[in-house]
Amino acid sequence: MRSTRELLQFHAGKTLGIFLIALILASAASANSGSGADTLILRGRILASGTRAPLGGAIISVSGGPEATGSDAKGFFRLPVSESRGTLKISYLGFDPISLPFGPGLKIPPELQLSRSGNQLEEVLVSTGYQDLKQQRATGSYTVLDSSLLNRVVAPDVISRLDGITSGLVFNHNPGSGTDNINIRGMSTIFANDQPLIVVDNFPYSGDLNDINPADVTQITVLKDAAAASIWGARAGNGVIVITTRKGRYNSPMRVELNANVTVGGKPDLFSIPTLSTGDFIATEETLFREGFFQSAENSYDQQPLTPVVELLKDQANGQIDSATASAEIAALGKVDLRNDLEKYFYRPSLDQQYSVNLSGGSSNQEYYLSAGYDNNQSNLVGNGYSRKTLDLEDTYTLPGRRLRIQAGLSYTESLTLANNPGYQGIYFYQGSPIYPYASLAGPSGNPLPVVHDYDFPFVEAAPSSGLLNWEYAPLEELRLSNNTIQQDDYRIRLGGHYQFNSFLSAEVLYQYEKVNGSGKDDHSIQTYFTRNLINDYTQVNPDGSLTLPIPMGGILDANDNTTESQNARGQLDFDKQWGPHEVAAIAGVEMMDAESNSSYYRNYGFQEAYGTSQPVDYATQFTLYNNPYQAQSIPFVNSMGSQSNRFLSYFGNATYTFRDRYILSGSARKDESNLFGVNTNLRGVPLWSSGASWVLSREPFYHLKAFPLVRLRLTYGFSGNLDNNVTAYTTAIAASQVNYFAHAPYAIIQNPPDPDLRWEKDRMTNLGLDFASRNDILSGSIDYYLKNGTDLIGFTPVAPSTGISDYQSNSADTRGHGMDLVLRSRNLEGHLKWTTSFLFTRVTQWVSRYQQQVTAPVYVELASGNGTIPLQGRPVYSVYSYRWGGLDHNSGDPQGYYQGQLSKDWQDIVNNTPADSLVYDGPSRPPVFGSVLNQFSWKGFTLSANISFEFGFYFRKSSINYSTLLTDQGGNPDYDLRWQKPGDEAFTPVPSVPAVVNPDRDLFYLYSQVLVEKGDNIRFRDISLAYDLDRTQWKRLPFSHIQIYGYLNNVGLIWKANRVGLDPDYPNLRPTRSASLGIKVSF
Amino acid sequence: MNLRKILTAGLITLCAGGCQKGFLDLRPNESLIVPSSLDDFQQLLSNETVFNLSPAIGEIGCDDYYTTGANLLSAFTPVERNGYFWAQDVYQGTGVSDWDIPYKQVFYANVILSGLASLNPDSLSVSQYDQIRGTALFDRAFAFYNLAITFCAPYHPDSASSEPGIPLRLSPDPNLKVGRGTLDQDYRQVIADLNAAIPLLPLASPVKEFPCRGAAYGLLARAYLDMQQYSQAGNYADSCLRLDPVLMDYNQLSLNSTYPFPKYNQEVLFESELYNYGIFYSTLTQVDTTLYGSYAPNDLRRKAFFVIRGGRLNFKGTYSGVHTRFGGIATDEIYLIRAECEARQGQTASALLDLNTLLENRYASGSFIPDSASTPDQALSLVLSARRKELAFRGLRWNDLRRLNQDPRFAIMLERIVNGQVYSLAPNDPRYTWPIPTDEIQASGLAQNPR
Repeated sequence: MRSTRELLQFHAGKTLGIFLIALILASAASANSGSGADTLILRGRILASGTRAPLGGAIISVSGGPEATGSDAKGFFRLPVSESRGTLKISYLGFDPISLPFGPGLKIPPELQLSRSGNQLEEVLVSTGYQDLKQQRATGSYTVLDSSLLNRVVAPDVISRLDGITSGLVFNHNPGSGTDNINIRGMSTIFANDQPLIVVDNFPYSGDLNDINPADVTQITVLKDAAAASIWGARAGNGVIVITTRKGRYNSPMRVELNANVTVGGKPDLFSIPTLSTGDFIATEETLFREGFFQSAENSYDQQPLTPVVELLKDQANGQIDSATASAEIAALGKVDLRNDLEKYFYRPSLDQQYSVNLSGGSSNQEYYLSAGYDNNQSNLVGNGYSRKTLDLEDTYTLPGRRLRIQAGLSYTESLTLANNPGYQGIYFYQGSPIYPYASLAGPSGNPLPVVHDYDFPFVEAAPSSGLLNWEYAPLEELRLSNNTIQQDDYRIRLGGHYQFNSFLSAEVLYQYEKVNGSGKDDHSIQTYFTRNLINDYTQVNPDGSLTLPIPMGGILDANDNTTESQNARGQLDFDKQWGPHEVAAIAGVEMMDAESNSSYYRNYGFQEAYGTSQPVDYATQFTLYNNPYQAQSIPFVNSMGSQSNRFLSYFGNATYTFRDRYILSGSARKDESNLFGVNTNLRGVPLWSSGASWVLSREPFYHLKAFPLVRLRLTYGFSGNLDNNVTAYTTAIAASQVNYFAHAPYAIIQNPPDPDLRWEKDRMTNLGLDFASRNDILSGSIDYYLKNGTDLIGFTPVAPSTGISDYQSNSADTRGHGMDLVLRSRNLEGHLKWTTSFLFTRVTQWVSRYQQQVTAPVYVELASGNGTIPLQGRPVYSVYSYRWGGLDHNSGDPQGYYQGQLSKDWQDIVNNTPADSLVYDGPSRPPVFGSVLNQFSWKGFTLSANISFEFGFYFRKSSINYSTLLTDQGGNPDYDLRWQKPGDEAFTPVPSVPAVVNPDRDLFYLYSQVLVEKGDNIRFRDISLAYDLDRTQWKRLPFSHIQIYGYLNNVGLIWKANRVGLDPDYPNLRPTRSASLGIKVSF
Repeated sequence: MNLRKILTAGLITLCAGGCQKGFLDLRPNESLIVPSSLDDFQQLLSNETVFNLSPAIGEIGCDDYYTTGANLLSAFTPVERNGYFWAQDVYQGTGVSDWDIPYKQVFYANVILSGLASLNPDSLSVSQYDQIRGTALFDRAFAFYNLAITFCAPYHPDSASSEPGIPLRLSPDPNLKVGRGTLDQDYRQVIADLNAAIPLLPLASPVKEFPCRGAAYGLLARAYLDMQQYSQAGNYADSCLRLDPVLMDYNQLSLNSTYPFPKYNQEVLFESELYNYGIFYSTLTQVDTTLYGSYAPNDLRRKAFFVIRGGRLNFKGTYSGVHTRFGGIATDEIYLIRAECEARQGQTASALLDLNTLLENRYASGSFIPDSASTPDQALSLVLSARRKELAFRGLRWNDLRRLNQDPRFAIMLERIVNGQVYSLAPNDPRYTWPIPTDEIQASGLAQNPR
C-alpha cells in the first residue's frame, strides 16, 4: 500500500506547485505593470468627534487592498498606496468606522473625526475559518466571544471557557464518562460523532484541544445555523467553533505582555457521596454470615477473600477466638470510616499555576507575534498532575509592491500528565466490588496498611513462606509506587501566501502540517502489587516442590505510542468589490485534508529499568494458576496496534451580495468527498448548500424609530452534514489485533453487513433572526428562532437474529426540532459607576421522529438516563424513562408497579416485559432550557462581574439502595436507613423493605421506577471575577503601560434547585469543588 | 487580469479533479477489509469464537446433573433458571445465544461461500480454495444440524416432512425473507452440504478448529442416526473410522490432574465448545448420582471426568482440555454410532467388537472384562448404556433423550426438584423442543413451536 504521506505530499505538492507557479507568474506580471506607477501617499489625523481627542492606534486601510497602517499616539497617519484611486477605511474600537473615497480630485481631509459607535454589534468581525465577515453583512447566526470575555474565566484550556457565556451552546456533564461534551443547538445525529467541529486558524484541529494556550486566543466564533456553518459542509452538522489566535499588528511598536495566575481548589467532599454507614455495613455482614452467605467463598477452591469482619465471625464460629474478642474487634472496625483515610492520603487541595509572556508588533511590511506559556497543575488527587509548555510564533511579511503577503507560523506544545491516583473508585475489594468501608489505609504514623483484595488473607499471608513474593495489597503503598505518565508533544507549522491581483480580487494558498506524538508509560515495578500478583499467580510448583516463574522476576512495563499526523491545504480566490450601491464579497476554493493516526500498545515483562531490558515469556502455554488449581491461563498478551486515516477533498464557494447597505443576500455551497470506506462512489460525496437573506430595516429611508437605531432581520435555510465512519456499504471485516486464543492464528471479525444504499447524514436548518439596538446601546440584542431537522440519520434497524447479524445500522432515523436563542445586553448605569448586564436564554426542543427499532424495557430505563443512546420514536435522544410506581405494599414493604394496567408485584414481568411505549417518560435528561445572566460593574479601575446560569426542564435519577448488592456484601446506599420496616411506613418512605431472598428484578424495578426520578431544574452561581486595571495614562510613574490584577472564584454554588433530595443535578455523585484564582497581567 | 483569474481557477479545478481518484481510495482503517481474497476468507474461518461454539440449552435441560434450588433463583440468566425445569416461558423476552450462535456461523459461512463463487482459483491456490469451501460448507451444516436438534421437534421418519424446520439461510443478504420450511428439508440440506464438503476437505486437518474429512463423515453419521436410517449412519461411521480409528488409552492419562485430557487430543475430529452457561461451572452443580454410580470402580472415567470438591461431586471437563464443555465430534462417539447401527441391524458380533474396542481403553489395565450379548437387543442395550457413560456432558444427551424416547423400551421420565417442588418431563413432551426466541419471532414473524 502506498503510504498516506506519500500520496498527500504528491498531491499537495502538485497543488502547491501549480499555485506557486501561478503566483510567480502573476506577481511578475503585476510587478511589470505596477513598477511604473507613482506611489500616492495619503496623510491625515484622526480625532474623536466632540472631544477632539487624538485617537492613537486607529487602523487605516485601503478597501480590498493590502495597504494598512495605524495612527500614532497623536492621531497622525501616513499611508502609501499603490492604486491611484480607491476607498480608505478607518476604524477604531468603540467608534463607528468611516470610509472615504480617494483619487484624482478626491482629497483626504486633514482631520478625520470618528464618532462613538452606537452599537457594538456593528463592528464585530465574524470569522468562519475561510473569511472574516462583518457581522453587519452576515446573514447567518454567529456568536462572537472576544478575548475580554474569554479571559474573564481562569481555566487551563480554551473550550471550558465557553461554558455559560455562549448562547445556544450547552455543556453536558456526564457523570458516567467523567468528561463533558458540548452541543450547539441540540443533537443533530444519534450514533455518529455529535461534537462540534473545532477550527483553529483556518483549519479543522486534529490535535488535543488542551494543547492550545488560551492566552494566545483572541476570538472565538461559534457558527450556529446553516448559513454560518454550511461552508464547512459534511462536518458542520453539529455546529462549528472557530478559534482565532493572536497575530501581530502592522506599524505598531513592540508590545510585551506578561500574565501569571494561581488557582487553588478544595478537596472533593467524599462524605457527599451517598454511602452506607460502616455500622449498617457490618450489621448486614453479620446477618449474611448467619444465613451462610459466605459459605461458598469460605469453601472456594480459588481462595476467594473474606472481609475482616467475616474473617472474625468465621474464626469465632470455628472456636479460634472467643465471642468477646470477636465483638471487641468488630466494634473497633465499626469506628473506622475509610473516607477519612482517603481524604487524608489520597486527596489534597489542587494548585494550578499559569504563566505566559508574549511579544507582538510590526513594521510597515511585517507583523509578528511570539508567545510562550507554562502551566503546572497539581490535581486534587495526590500523585496526579499536568504540566504544559507552549510556544507560538506567527509572522506575516508583505513583499515590496504590497501585492504578495506571506505568512508563516509555528506552534509547539509539550505536556506531561501524571496519572497515578485513580481516586476513591480505584480501590476495590474483589472482582470490582467496592472496598469495605472500615478499611484502614494507613497506620498511626502514616505507614501504608494492607487491605483484603483478590484472595483470602491467610492464603496471602502464607505466600512468602512458600517461596512466593509478598502478596499483600496496600493501596497507599501502591499510590507511592505508581509511575504512570503520558508525554505528548504537538507541533503545527503553518504557511500561507496571499496575493492581491487588484483592488477586488485576491488569491490565497494555505498549508498546515500538524503532528502529535503521545507516549504513555505505566511502569509497574517489582514492588507493585500488579507485578507481584502476576508473578505469584503464574508461579508453577514442580513435583519436587521447586518453583518455576513463567513471568520473570522484574517489573512490567506497559507502554503505548500514539501519533497523529495531519496535513491541510487550501487554495482560495477572494472577490470583494463595491460599486455604486452594490457590494459583493465572494470566495471559492478547494481544500484537502489528510489525517493519519497510528497507535501501538505493548507490554514488557521482566523489565529492568536500570538497564532498559526485558525478558521473553511463553504466551502459548496455559499455566495453572497458583490461587486456583482448576484454572489454566496463558500469560496476558496485550500488545496491539492500529491505524486510521481520514481524507477529505472539498470544494466550496460562498458569496454575499449587499445592495444599498440594507438588502443582503448570501449563498454557499460545498461538496465533500472522503475516503469513507466502501461507500458507492456516487454517494461518497455530498453536496450541501445554504442561502440567506438579511434586511437592515433601520437603514430604510422610511424608518424613523429613533429609539432603535438598529433593526435587522435575517432569514437563512440550508443543509449541513455528518458522517459516521462505523458503517459501510460493503460487507466489511476487521482483522483482530491479536491471534486467536487456542489455534494462535490471525483471524477476522465481520464488522458490517452490506448496505449499498448508505448515505451521509443530513441536517436541515431554517433560521429566522432579529438584531436590534436602542439608542446608545441601552438595550441591544438578538433573537433567533430555528427549525432543525435531521434526515437519513444512521440508526439501528430491527433485524431477525437468524440473519446472523446482531446490529444492523442504516440510514433509518430522523429527528425534528426547533429552538430559540435570545441574547439581551443592557447598559444599566453610565458614568463613574458602570453597570452592564448580558442575558442569554436558549430553548431547544428536539425529538426522534422516525426510529424503527424497539428494544426491551431495561435498555431504555438503564441506558437512556444519560450515557446511552437507544432512542424511542417521539422522544428526545437522551431521555429519562421509568417504571410506573404503585407505592409500597402495606404488609410487606415490597415495591409495587403496574403490569398490563394492573397493580403488580411480578417484578420479573414488569422489568422485562413492559412494552417500551408503556414506560413512563419523565422527560429529557439534558436541559431544553438554559442560559445565564452576566452582570458587570466597573468603577474607576475596578471591574466586578458575576455569572449566574440556569437550566430548566430536565430530569435525573437519584441512586438508592440496591439489595442485590447489599445482600451480596457489596455495599449499599444510605437510603437503607429510610427503608420500610413495619406496616404504615409506606406512608413516609418509598424505600422497599429488605427482601427475604435476593431478587434482582425487585431491585431493578425500584431503582428504575418513577419514584426516584427528580427534576433537574437549577440556578447556579457560576463564578465571580474582580479585576483592577491601571494605565500609565492614569498614573504617570507606572513602570508599565498597563497593569491588571485579577481574582476569580469558580463554582460558587447552587442558588436554587428543584429536587427535594438535596442533590446537585449536574453532579449527583460528587460535588465539584470550589476554586479561587489570583493573577496579574502586565504590558509594556 | 481576467485571463489570470480564469487560469488560476481552471488550474485549481483541474488539479482537484486529478487528485480525486487515488487520494480517496485509501482505507480509513488498515485492519478493515472487504473480504474478497482466499486469505480474507481463511481469516474469517479462523474466528474460533464464531465457528467453534455450539448451542448448550439442551445441556441445561438434560439429566446429567442437578443443582440446588436456592442457588438457581438468583445467580443465573432466565434461560438457565427456567430451562433447568423446562418452564413454560424459558426466555422471558431475553435473546437466546443458542439461536444466535449457529446463525452467526451460517452468516459467516454464507459470506465466504458467496465470496468464493466470484473467485476463480488458479492451480496454485486451488487446494486452499477447496479447503475453505469445504470448511464453510461443513460449518454451515454443523450450524443447521445444531439448530434442528434444538428448535425443531425430534426427527421421526413419518412426520419429518410435515414438521416445521428452521429457516435455511443460504445467502448473506439480511433483507432476504426465509420461512421455516420442514424438518426433512433441514436434514436434507445438512446432508447436501456435507456431501459437497467431503471431497473438498483434507484427510487430516493440522488445526482441529478446522474439520477434516472424517469429521464430515461423523456428522453425517449423527444426522442419519437421528433419521433412523441405520445402514446409512453405520456406513458413514465406518467411512469415518477408516480414516480416523484412533482411541486414547485412558491408562496413559494422569487422571488426578485438573484437566487430564489434552486439548486437540487424538480422538478429536472437530473442535467445538459448548456455549459457556454459568450453571455448568457452579460448584453447586453436581453430577447426577445415578449416572456417577453407573461407572464401575475400575472405570477410569470416574476419575478422568469427575472430582469431589468440598464434598460435592463436580464434573471436571473433557476433551476441550479446559473447564469449558466439549461440543465437537470425536472418534469415541463414532464407535458408538457404528456399534448402535450394527446392533440395530442384527450384527451382534460386530457391535460387541466396536463396543469392547472402545471400553478396553476406558478401564484400568488388565481389569477389563469384555461385554457379551447373545441377541442384537441385548447388544443394543449395552451400547446405549455405554453411550450414556461415554458421552455425558458432551451436549449430546438431550438429543439422545429426544431420539430414544420415541422407543418405549428406552423412554424415561425426567424430574427436577426446585425449592421443594417437583417438576417432571414425560417422554415426547412438546417441551423437548425449545421455543423460537422472542426477538426472532418479532422480527421475522416465524411460527412458534407448541409448548
